[in-house]
Amino acid sequence: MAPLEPWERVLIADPEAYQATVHAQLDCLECHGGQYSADKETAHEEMIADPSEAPESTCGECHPDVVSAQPDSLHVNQAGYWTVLGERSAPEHHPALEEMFGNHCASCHTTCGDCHVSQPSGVGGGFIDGHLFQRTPSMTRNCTACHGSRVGNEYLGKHEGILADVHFREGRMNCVDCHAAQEMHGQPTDCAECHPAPEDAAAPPPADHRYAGLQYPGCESCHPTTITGQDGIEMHAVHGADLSCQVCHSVSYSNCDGCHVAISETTGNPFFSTETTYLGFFLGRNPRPSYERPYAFVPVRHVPIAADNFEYYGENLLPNFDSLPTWVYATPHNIQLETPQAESCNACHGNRELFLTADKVKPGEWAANQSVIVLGVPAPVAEKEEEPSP
Amino acid sequence: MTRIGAAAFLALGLLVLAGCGVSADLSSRAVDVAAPPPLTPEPEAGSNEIQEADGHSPNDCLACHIDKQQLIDTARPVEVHPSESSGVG
Repeated sequence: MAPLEPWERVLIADPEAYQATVHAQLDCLECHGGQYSADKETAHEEMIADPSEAPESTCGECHPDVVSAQPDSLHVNQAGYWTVLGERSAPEHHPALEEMFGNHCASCHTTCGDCHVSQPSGVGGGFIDGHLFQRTPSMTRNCTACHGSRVGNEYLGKHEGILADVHFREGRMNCVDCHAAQEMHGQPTDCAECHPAPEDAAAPPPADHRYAGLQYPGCESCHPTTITGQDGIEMHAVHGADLSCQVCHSVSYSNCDGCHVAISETTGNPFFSTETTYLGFFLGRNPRPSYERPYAFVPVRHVPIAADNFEYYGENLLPNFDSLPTWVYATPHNIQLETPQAESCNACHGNRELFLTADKVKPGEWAANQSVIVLGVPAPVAEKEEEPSP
Repeated sequence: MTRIGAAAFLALGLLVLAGCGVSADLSSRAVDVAAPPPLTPEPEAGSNEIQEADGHSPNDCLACHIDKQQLIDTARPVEVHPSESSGVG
């Protein structure tokens, strides 16, 4: 996404519309600090460009329920990064990794304003619509501004020859139609406030990864008969509980290898270099089996991790690199009703091409991927012959 | 009757004068009472102007931020460096 011009980022394009909003009833300085002056430099002294960096004293004054939950939001705390970095590294390497993280990853940290007022700072920022607060974030200027290269391209059908996700193509569904505010804003600090029953007392810990805890959103929320086999589709009756929906209904998606990061000697700016990116569809064993996700097989995506990704910041910063797979549990956002692998039983059974067998994994990553590599491809099955027409 | 009427008129006059005297006396012992707030007109719907004592107001912010040309004129020059990143982010 092209960055906005500097003036464009801060222009209140429709002052009358802005003045009519409830947020315009607040004094500018209440949220932004600075001081009243016709002189730009004076006015901007101690000004806070994004007041929602400290939401308790700004947004939280009127939206305390949302702000009190947001420390547990993965968009805010970026805990998912630290879950995998912590697992692969060792405590003595954390200072170097924290420096790396600050330079290359922290810009993905999201504030209230990054979704409801401006484009995310990671893509240059700037008002979505002249400082008008947006109840629903823009799909393309907020969500896929950050989640573009994988989710956005898949969902919107930007890969040549691959259709957009059916939920977008046929349903024109926006990201927030599935990923609702409750998911984005984080888990409330006191679950018992809304769930007072004794069985709810053991609240799950805050999510430390996007696939932690409840499977939400879940396909079956809108398609409840699929996993119970009550829709008359034989494959749902047979595999509804042991395969993730994407096994049959997803198609080729992006995979990336090795994202090396460094600081430019000429500009001092951080930069990255991804080795390769390729489309592919690979079924692996489920590396995160749980009550919520009991599947035997799931699509797996190669993420751009390599043992030497962060060597600019120190040697061997990921000494436990093999403790997590490089092919990870994936939920590609390119759902189709009809896919090649769902054409028949043996489009999948016995079809080695679909499965992440050892020959598709780099030898240097075999150890890391023991939990996902498929050793034995499901055998072909005797398919029913079509009954002759009477 | 004329005498009685004149006497009554005189008495009434004295009473009025006495009243004035008491009033004058009270005013000399008046206690401090907070002045009532001056009546200000209700702001018109949609108006949120807040005038500050030094003459500046939030309009200072808006005056600039609704003026595209002024924002262009006062924008800091942006140093554009070609990105050294390569591959998909």
